Amino acid sequence: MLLKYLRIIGMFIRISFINGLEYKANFILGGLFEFSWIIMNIIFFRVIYLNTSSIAGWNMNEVLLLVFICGFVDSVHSFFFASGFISIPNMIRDGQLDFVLLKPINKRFYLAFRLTNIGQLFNIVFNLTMIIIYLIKLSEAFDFLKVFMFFMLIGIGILIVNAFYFTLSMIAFWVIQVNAIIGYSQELFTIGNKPLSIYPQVIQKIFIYLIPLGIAFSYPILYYSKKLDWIDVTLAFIIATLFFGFSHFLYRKGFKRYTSASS
Amino acid sequence: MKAITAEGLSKIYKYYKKEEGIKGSIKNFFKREALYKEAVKGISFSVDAGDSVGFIGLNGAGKTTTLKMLSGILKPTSGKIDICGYSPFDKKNDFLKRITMVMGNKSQLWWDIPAIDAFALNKEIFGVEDIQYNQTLNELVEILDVGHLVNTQVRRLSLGERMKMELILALIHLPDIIFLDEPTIGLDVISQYNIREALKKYRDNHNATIILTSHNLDDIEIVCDKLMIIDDGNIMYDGQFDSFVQLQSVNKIMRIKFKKGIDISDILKDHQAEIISSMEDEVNVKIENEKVISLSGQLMSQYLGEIKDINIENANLQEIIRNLYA
Repeated sequence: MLLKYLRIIGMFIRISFINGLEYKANFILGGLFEFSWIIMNIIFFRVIYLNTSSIAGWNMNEVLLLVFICGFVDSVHSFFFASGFISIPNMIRDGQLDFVLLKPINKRFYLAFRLTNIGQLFNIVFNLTMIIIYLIKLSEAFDFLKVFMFFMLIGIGILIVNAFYFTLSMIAFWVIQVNAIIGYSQELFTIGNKPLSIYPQVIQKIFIYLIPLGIAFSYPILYYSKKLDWIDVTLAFIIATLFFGFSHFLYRKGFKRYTSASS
Repeated sequence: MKAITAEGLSKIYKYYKKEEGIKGSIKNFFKREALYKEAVKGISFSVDAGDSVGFIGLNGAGKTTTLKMLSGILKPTSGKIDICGYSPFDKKNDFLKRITMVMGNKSQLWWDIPAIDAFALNKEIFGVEDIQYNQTLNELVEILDVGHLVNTQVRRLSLGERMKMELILALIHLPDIIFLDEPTIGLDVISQYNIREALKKYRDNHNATIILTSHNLDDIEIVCDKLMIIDDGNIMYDGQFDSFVQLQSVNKIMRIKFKKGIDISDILKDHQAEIISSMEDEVNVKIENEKVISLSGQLMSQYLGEIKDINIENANLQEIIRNLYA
């Protein structure tokens, strides 16, 4: 079963690659926006750290690691899921979802992976490389379990971001047009991907328990810098699972409401 | 053996009253009046395995909604459906592997890649074995004569060619229940013919059950042996296609050819025959079934020397359906 799904992901990537080569400019410039965002953030934080050595307990290397984790999670999301999720509201409106419902495959998997964005490959490799470099900079000695848990928490981050955008797409079953909601949510993303500790306690709680983008981005570094205990980490896993479960609940409810479109 | 059974099937859509203009839209923004439309009204029917059923009705009669409930896309508001032992809306993988749906106005091909890649993707999704995939692909490509096109980008294909690819994509997993919603819409006569012939061959080769909706009644006449007519969410007729034509054919068409021009208008008038078209040496009339013998007899006795040929035909399906809804 797992092999079947991996083969299908492989085919989606292949199709995306063929598509990508068809539109050369898009293929070359595809990931440039996200890459520029990373560079701008590096410059921004480097300039800030010319004036201070710590922001709410975060040193420059930790903040730059956060930038690369955000970049990595975002590029993985954009590579696999973003295009597929963005198209869901239109599929609901014009009835194209009909064909998805007729496929003997997990529908959430199909909707999530079917439109991969090959242009993000460079960003994935770049951010991952930078994460490893900065991880080494922050490490006193190599600790396999610690590194493993760090990447597990990044995995949790990808799961949360996936659930976050999937939830937004699922709202389309109720309101059809979700562009404005997605637009405002991008702003939440911008707030959520900053060091969690710079915010007042109330906002921190919101970004941990309600919209767990704080867990998605800040927790791997907070864990690696020994600013989290095992209870926090366990809670992070539970919250991520619940958040993913909530998106799945909406997905199940939404599919029951689906009315397709007239022929 | 029953392939499809539907009992008391109904579907009610909820929608909102949209008022006219900006003022109306603002009013709607704050207060929406919910309206309900019963698209399908408690219909019951069954289809035997291997049957080809033409499902016809006017726009908005409930054809597509019924098809989408049968395939599991839509959840019925009430009623029960049994397809080969499955309840469609459960969308069990084993059920989905046995059915397919082709929609003339929607595509499941990938626009920028060749159709063969979409076939290969469906092969993986439906878990089709390599040997069966190659066999089915060869069979369908041969029936539809598209071997030279499978590697062409879909967006470079004509509408007719694209529809053939849609059909292959829909049949690549060898389904035994096929739902078709307007499969020949917008196609030229040659493409229509090819699609119908392919469907017939596939049905005969695999004993497939077909439910076909189309406003092109030639599709129904050529592919289907049974007919189901739906009007305003209710079934008006469910039975053999031929029986329906016989039952509804109150008129016949007579084509009378002359050796030389004669005036038969009085005889036609006596028999209340309606002239459909008239030329110098031929007149085509529509006449009630029971008056055909009498008119033929009178023509033969009075104008035997002048008449070259008399041809009597059943009224076509299009006319029958038009009369039915009139």
